Amino acid sequence: MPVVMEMENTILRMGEDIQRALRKAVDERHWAMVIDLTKCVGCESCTIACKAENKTPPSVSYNIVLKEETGTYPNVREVFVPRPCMQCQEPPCVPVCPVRATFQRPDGIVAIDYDQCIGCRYCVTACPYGARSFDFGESYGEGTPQTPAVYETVATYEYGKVQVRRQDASPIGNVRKCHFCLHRLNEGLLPACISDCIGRSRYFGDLSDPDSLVSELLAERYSFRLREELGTKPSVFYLS
Amino acid sequence: MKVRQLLWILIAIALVIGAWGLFQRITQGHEMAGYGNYIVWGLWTSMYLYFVEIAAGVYILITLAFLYGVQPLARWLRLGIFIALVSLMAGLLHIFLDLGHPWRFWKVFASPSFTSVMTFMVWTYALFGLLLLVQLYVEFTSGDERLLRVLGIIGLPLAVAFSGGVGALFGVQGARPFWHVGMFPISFLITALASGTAVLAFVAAFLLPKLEDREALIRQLSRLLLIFVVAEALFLFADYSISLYGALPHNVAAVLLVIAGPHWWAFWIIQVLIGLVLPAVILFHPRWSQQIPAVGLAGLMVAFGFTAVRLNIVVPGLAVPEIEALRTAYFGPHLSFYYFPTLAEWAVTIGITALAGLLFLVGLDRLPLVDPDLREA
Repeated sequence: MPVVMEMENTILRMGEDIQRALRKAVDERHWAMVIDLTKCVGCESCTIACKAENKTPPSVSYNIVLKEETGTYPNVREVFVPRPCMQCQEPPCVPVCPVRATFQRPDGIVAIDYDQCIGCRYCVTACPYGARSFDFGESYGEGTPQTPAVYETVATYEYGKVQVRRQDASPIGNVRKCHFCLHRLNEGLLPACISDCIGRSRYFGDLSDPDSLVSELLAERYSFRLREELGTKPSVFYLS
Repeated sequence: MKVRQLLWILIAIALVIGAWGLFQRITQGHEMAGYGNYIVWGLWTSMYLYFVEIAAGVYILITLAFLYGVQPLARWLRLGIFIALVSLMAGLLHIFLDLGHPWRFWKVFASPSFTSVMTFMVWTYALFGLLLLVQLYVEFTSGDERLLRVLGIIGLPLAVAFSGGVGALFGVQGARPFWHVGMFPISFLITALASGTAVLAFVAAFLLPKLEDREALIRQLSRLLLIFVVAEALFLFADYSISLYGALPHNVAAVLLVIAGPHWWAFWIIQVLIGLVLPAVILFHPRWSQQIPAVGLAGLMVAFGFTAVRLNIVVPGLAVPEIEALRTAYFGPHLSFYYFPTLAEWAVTIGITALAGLLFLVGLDRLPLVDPDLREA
């Protein structure tokens, strides 16, 4: 099958997996992400897609790509490891929150209630993956005549709420993180980083569904999770 | 009263600086801060720890002396309670300004999560603060010793709980080996006792009226301070030597940052030399340890030097990346693994410290903090 056709099929397949999962009760779903490191080229399209979708400010990026160079010239290789939030099944960030602003949903996604968060940042110190950021209130428009930049005045749909970022109001002063584009998932759409991956290195679906693509991939291929020794049980798996 | 006049001048200048810092914090939010998304806690968190530990240390020491009738320290209960109150206020003011949404602090009471050590801390601070107010009220009104003893028996475990609890706040962080130290609650308690005794020694030497038992009080504080300073040094040595010998990379990197990093001087000069070695020399010296100004100076040195103790716990634990590649993954403001407080952060800390000093001096002048039975020497 031509590569393009295969990629389209993958997207359709994951879309069907999501629809099937949405028909189940929330606590019967386990959203998970699988990232094939052999396909990732480090283009950061996932980072950009996430920025565009969630309109995150300068110091906040829910998705980043870790880069590591190994070997000595001429035998050099660069390894790319995209890092969204791991949506740990045993999240160290949840029990430390003093006000229950960060919590684990029944479907495994670790969410933040922006109106509840006091901005103490204890959860940031507890995350072993550096996946949480504090919104310091910065704007990409700073130093230009247009502050905030026009696209920063557009509403976001995080956690299903239509919200425009304004000074002195949440999410400024809050801790923020990747939520697997929960607002898109609830509409049957894939997370932005999955749809926009140019190499189709990222897969998404319901791990509790044995027929989902992510379940199949994890059964067929060798996978690992970041810093597994900490017992956090991430819901993000890497294929290598 | 030259020391007091000098303090008034310093406080006035510091309050102006603090007002500027507060203005920056109010107008710019957290954008003015040097802390960021990796080193999320900085000077203000460290100073919060510093001041609440002074509150705990002073209170534990004075209350124990009061409950067991250890003279002459037992006669200074109300002074100790007042210092603890002012110090607690300075600590909580720091953490209030450090919060992203300070005015939501009430949520810790309204919808608390009891799985968080932080909730436990906030609740114990609130109870402790209330207890201090009640104790002062009883002291200034009926002076009922039996009631004061009951309040002291309630307050003592509270103070031990929150000074040790701050250690637990860091100790429970399994993913950060530099903080994940089982003895932290105990070593924090020792630090609290050392810094509390140091503040008492400074106050007794330079700010209290020349009362009949002042010399005996200073000698007592001198011996106690020496014990706590030596204990602090032992805990520090045990922690760092075991960390280095254990060779866990993250832990070793953090310890090396402290002792040989860009801010090595904060450790070797402020924390070790000024905070531990010089005071120990003075307090161990047969003649100097009996002289009031020398013991007061030792107290001042410990109190100053221990600011670095807190910074050297908070910052290095965050300055080593959880994953090394984070250093180069994403760039922007507030995304550095290097931290040095900004001018606005320093200004706020200077201002809060001055405010605490102002409240203390006003209290010393206007409130009956000295036992009325004590006579001028």
